[in-house]
Amino acid sequence: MASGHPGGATPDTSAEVLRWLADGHVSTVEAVRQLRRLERRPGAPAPAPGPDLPTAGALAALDALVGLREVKRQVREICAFVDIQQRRAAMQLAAEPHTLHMVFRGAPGTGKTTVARLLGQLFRDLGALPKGHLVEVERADLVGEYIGHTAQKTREVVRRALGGVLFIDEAYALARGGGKDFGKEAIDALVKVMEDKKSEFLLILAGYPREMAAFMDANPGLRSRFAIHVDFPEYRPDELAAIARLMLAERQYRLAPDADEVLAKALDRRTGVWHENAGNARMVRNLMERAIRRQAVRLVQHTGPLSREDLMTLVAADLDEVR
Amino acid sequence: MRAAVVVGGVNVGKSLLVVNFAAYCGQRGLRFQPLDRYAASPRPWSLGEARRQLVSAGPHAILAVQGVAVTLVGKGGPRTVRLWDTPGLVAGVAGDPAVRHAMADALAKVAQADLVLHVVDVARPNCWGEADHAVAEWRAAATPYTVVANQMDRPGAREGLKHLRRQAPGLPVVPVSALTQQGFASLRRAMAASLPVD
Ligand SMILES: Nc1nc2c(ncn2[C@@H]2O[C@H](COP(=O)(O)OP(=O)(O)O)[C@@H](O)[C@H]2O)c(=O)[nH]1
Ligand SMILES: Nc1ncnc2c1ncn2[C@@H]1O[C@H](COP(=O)(O)OP(=O)(O)O)[C@@H](O)[C@H]1O
Ligand SMILES: [Mg+2]
Ligand SMILES: [Mg+2]
Repeated sequence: MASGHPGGATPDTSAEVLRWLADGHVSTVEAVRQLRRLERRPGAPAPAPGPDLPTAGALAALDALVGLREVKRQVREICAFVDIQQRRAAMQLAAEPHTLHMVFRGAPGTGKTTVARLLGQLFRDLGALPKGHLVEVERADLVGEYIGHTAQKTREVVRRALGGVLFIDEAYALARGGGKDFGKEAIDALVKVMEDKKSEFLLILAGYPREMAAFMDANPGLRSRFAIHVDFPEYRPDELAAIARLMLAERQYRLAPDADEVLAKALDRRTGVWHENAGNARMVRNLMERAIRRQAVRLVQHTGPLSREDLMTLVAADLDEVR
Repeated sequence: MRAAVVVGGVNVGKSLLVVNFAAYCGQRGLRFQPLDRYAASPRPWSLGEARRQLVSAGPHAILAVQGVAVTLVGKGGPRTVRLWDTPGLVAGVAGDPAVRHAMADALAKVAQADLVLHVVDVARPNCWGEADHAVAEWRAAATPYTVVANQMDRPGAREGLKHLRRQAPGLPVVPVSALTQQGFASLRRAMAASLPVD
């Protein structure tokens, strides 16, 4: 399998390759190789659109996500608003300042980071953010060890995110810790940079719905600055199965009928790995990656020629860990 | 408008090629269009100004991807095409995030090219590097692709050209000097052959 990312995963789209390149996860040469690999797949999507259709690439990627109907609708609405404000500003009409910072509420693996990344690209294509890159951080990246350290760390993180999206995962954890904790300092620092650098970056706070609601309630200074709330529901079993098939198809694998049945049944079951992680697309990704490795182990032991079909197919035995 | 994307390593002469080739095509005021459709294009530059802004012997003078429209006169009629200058590709992982973003912008532009002009400095030893190889392997079969062997006016360029032809077999190579403009007629012919008449 081609490598190139710390996690050992391979990128699924050209946009993802370019992001990894920009983020320093892959070298230029490796990025070019990955772009070539993706284009040589049968049925590969057309290359990124020209400047005339600026957002088609990211919008198409958004549409290609399984489910998430309401999220998609909200994103389109936000983009329409941003687009029109930009055009009004271009014609010297009064434009609403875009204080479009958002709260993404959902369990892990429900697509929050994925959508945040696409939003950055959409905003960039609309001209609302110069770079549109995503900087994903969590509490430990913001909170320091001594007085003053936190403000310094937070400013540094914001500096990296300028022109793009700052995505704070499990943001409610900032309020953890009580008295001698510096989490509060991070919140204050964030409120301050949101004032100072108003439309220079997009801040997205993400986390479990209940925790995020409590967190926002306890911090009125933050609450008043976040008008947009997007809810990411847990995926249904049939959606997870569709996500699994999509992830496999992007890597040129597919499930044999018996494997598909194992998967569908496991996703419906009320116990085991799947149940504990119900609705979690990341778990699906990890398990499919494991199944791909198991298939490889199975196939190298096989004597005799291997067909293209054999190389592409995952059978029920490859999904053993799933049952 | 069709896009001819000029790509290659750092300081191989991409920017000088863009400016001087535009001049050769009769362009006087060069109005460069930025990548971002909302960014204002700067006022047109004179040729001298464009060279001062874009051409430099140092590292990455400019990280922007930007294009200037030129009209090629050729067999059958004129062809209008925008020549896109890109930041020079560095093979590895760049330390500076701004450079990494620029690499991504450059590759995104190459992916959209109607025509790729891959510039190489043949006066340098081992002029066909790892990144050159990878990019050609990626795009040469998919789009009209011309390798521009630049800096032919400099000593050692003839041997470099031979080396390049051995390293990149099967790719069309047009030797030029962006400085003296030698070879520009052949370059214009090669480009015109893969562009539709307006
Ligand atoms: N002698 C000579 N010098 C050149 C030629 N092309 C570019 N240069 C010089 O090489 C340096 C880098 O050129 P530039 O256009 O900035 O390269 P870029 O980084 O690829 O855009 C500048 O000092 C140019 O004047 C050429 O054909 N002949
Ligand atoms: N609707 C979807 N369709 C396809 N893949 C998805 C979808 N939602 C999430 N994924 C995939 O699942 C994984 C986890 O998603 P992610 O956005 O990181 O979730 P979160 O940020 O909510 O934890 C990613 O690999 C992503 O590509
Ligand atoms: Mg996440
Ligand atoms: Mg240059």
